[in-house]
Amino acid sequence: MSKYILEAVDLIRQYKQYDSVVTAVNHVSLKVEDGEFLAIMGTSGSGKSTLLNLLAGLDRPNFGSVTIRGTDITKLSPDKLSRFRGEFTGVVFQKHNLVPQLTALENILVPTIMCNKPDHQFQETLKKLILSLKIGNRLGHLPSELSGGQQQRVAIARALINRPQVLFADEPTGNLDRKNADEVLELLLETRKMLGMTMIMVTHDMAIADKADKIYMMDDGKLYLYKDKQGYYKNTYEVQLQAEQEKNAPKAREPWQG
Amino acid sequence: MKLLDSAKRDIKLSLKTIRFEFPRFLCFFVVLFLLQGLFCSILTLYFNNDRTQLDYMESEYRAPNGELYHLKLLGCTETQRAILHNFDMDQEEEKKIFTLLGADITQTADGSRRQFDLYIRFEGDVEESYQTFRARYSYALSEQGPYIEGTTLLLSYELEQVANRAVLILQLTLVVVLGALAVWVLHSIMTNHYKFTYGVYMSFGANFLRLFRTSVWEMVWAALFTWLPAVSVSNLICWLLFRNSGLGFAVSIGGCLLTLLISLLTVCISVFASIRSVSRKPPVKHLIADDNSNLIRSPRHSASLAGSTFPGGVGRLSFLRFRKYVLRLLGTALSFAMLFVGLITLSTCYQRMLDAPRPLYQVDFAVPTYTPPSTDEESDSEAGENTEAEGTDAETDTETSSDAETPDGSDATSDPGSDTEEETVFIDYASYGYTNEISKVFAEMPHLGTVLKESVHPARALHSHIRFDEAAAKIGAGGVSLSRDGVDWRYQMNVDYQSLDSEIIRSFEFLGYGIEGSLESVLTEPGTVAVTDSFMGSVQFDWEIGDVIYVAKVAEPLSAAHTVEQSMMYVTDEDQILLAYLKQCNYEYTAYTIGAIISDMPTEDSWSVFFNAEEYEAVTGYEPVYESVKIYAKAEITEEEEAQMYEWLRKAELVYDNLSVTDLHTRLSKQIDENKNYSGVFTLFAVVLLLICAIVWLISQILFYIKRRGEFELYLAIGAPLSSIRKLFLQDALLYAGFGAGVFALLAPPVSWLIHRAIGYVTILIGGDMLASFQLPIVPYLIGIAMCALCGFVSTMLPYLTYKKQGSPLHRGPGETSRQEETVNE
Repeated sequence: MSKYILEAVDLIRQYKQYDSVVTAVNHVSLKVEDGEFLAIMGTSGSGKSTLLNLLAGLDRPNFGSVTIRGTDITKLSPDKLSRFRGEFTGVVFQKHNLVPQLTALENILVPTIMCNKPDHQFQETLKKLILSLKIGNRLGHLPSELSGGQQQRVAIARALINRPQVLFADEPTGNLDRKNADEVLELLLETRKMLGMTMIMVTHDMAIADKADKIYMMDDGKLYLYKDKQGYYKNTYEVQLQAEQEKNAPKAREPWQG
Repeated sequence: MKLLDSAKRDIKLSLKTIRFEFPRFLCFFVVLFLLQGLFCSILTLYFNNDRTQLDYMESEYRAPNGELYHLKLLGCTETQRAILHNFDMDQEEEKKIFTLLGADITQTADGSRRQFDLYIRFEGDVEESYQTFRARYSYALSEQGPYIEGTTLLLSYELEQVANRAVLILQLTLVVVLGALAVWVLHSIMTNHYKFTYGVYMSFGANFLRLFRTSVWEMVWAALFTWLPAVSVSNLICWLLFRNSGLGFAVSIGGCLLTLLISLLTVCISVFASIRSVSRKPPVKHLIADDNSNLIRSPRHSASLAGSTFPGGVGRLSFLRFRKYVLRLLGTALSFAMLFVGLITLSTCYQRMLDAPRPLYQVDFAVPTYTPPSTDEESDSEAGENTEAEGTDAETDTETSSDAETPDGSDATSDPGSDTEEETVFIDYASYGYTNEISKVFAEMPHLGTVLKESVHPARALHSHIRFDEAAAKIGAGGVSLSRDGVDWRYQMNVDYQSLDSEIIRSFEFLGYGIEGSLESVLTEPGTVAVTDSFMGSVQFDWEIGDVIYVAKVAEPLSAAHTVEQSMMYVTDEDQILLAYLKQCNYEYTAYTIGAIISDMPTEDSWSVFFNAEEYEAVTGYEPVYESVKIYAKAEITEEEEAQMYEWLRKAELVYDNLSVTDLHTRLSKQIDENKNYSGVFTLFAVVLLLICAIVWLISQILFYIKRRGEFELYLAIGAPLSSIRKLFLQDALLYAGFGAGVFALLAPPVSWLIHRAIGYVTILIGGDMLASFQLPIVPYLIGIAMCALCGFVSTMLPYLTYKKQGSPLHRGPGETSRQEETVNE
């Protein structure tokens, strides 16, 4: 069995915008080990959220494959992919994406409802999450009655309730102030450790990324390793230089061009 | 247990969603209320009609001993009664086909002897038993003297029931399909506006089945909540309908329960279709859609605002910007509006058919003493080609009429007037049938409206066909198109050659057929004919007075025509057969000018050409012979007057040996047809569709403008006054109203025509009747136009009024709060 829980090979994602084609993710390959915490950084519009969506199976690439626990999710039917997401992955969105008509508790339980999980399978985890995320007193409230920090805690609890093997977080603290951001991040990391899962996080914040095992930089749809497990930091100049070289290199024919 | 647990969660989730967002579910409540009302009305009418129909028959067809009878033999002699009684006694119990129930005994008119009206009930498969009865016993009975055979509608009751059930199933299928379409459209609009929630559910593991279950429960609740009010209102309407007709009414519990089942099926179909398309897309598409929904659609379009006038240019631009949405909205809403007009067209058409005069009796004429020549086998084999060979009465009559009407085809065509053949095979046509002498006698009949007579020869039986200018045939008229001598011709073989005289013309006028030109010209001007313009329930020709048609007569040698006939014996496609005739035979064509065009004459798969007697004989080789006529009464005839007519006919039957009368039970069957209330159901259905059109329009537009609120806020933020926003809405409203009404006005007539044509074709195919001429109902058409304009305008201005009422933070004074904010604060 492969030591990698997630393997992405040569991912390409393009969007048609009027007459032109925008390549948001350009030949990206990535391997993530079990239990690893990986951060993806980059400027706005560099394609990091698109990459995260591809890795989490929320979107389909134009080319390439994403394998999670030996299953190539790009080849799964929409129904099977949905079921796979429910069983193996959890997602925390930047904008929380809580369902407005459901209370905090019901929002947390959405994945269990969607995966038809019986009560006894998640009661223990629910208790632990409520306790560690400190949202016990807000469970009966609607999202509109919660603060941004509380909403994000609920979103984290929702992402973790099914005990996913890989957690994808898209700038989970992006909408929060520093104090709340630190708190939420701390809770997220603690819970990850408690449940022992792999986490891939997109962030702008170097302070947050610093806590990751590996940091990748994303620029113009390309992904570069910025910090590896041994703690070696490539300096920014090296990364930029590499990016420049890539840009200026003669372009090979794109795979879809035959 | 797991399933129960899961269902409990689904129910809880769906109820919560409905409670939280009731306004968005309101349209489903309204639509499902309307649909369930319609389902229940159709079912209640059906069940009550079924019961009423049986009640009618049971009260009408009771023998003296109180039992129901299928056949009545009137005016029998004592010997005939005894024979029938013996036949009844001789039957083995398990193979019994009929039971003699009893007899009414009266004196003959001259008081010379007793006569018996015998009541017979058939056993087992009644239709089959009736046929067996005729085959076994009719001959023996008729040998003893004349009698009148009167079948009852009970004989065909089972068949009638099957037909009623088929119509019910068709109606329900149509309503389910259109209902599912309506719910699907609304559900798709809703899922499109609220796809963010589905995106979240899908991100956390919801597959199609899961989403379907979540959504279908919401619709199930909507159906359950509206079921009781819908069935109550529907039963109330049906009760009023029945009460006005003086009929008994019973609430059908089965119908109410079936309504619920059908509506659940409808919502399942529509939710399935709508959720299927949602679940096929990646969740990120649903999530992103929400994120960007409040923004102006694209930077490029936002930039172009600078060069546009405000609000005029921007408004027109938004109509273009959202062209996909506009097209989808107009397409959906207008489809329902067009169906409204289409169904009203059908309803009017059905009502016209119901109001048209119906024959009360059929009188068949034949030579009673004719014995067929034993050597002539071919005449029997060709009996099937004969449309006149009805032979509804005594066995002798049937045989005679078959032989009289089925002369050997080959001999008849080769030389129908041959003297030797007339001596051996043909009988003297003039000696029987509905002659001028009998016509004069029949004119004395009390309360007579008209006597409709027909003498018909199908072109195919004569190896003939009609040729005419290709331009006169409408799309779908069929036939063979060939170009000869530089002219494009259309050839058709599905033509009946009929004779016309002044009595038939009077009948056509009585029956109210549409007549263009002069039918008299056919009688007075040589080489002039009258033609019908339709078959298969649709107008197929574009005739004009003065057009010329050519009647083909096969030329020597005739063997070629017989060869084609033999080789094409098993081919059913008439055009293929005609093509073979055209390729292998020589034809001589005689030109006839169209002097009159007859429309709305009931036809099946063929149309008719009417000749005067001489021309008819020249074309067919036969004199016109009327073996069967239909008797119509004057309008508004009472039951007593009807009885007098029947009594008169019974007397005539005793005077003329070669005449037999069949009661067509018109009063009863018309009453039954009226009670079916199909025209009312169609109208109700049409109104429901028009309401659905309005709902689709309103819901779509309200949700659409809610999504665009961010855009209006932006306009206000960059300095636009609220009056400009109002102008923007007003401009949109006028555009929607104008486009809606315009497109509807243009498309509704052709769509209604297509619906009429399709339904006509299907109706004729399953053996029903349909008026071929299409009449667009003007008032509903104008209502449709007004409704489209109104919906377009109101559905656009309503969101503006709500927007203005709720207030934007940008046009409120300092310290003012919106009503929404006040509610939240409270």
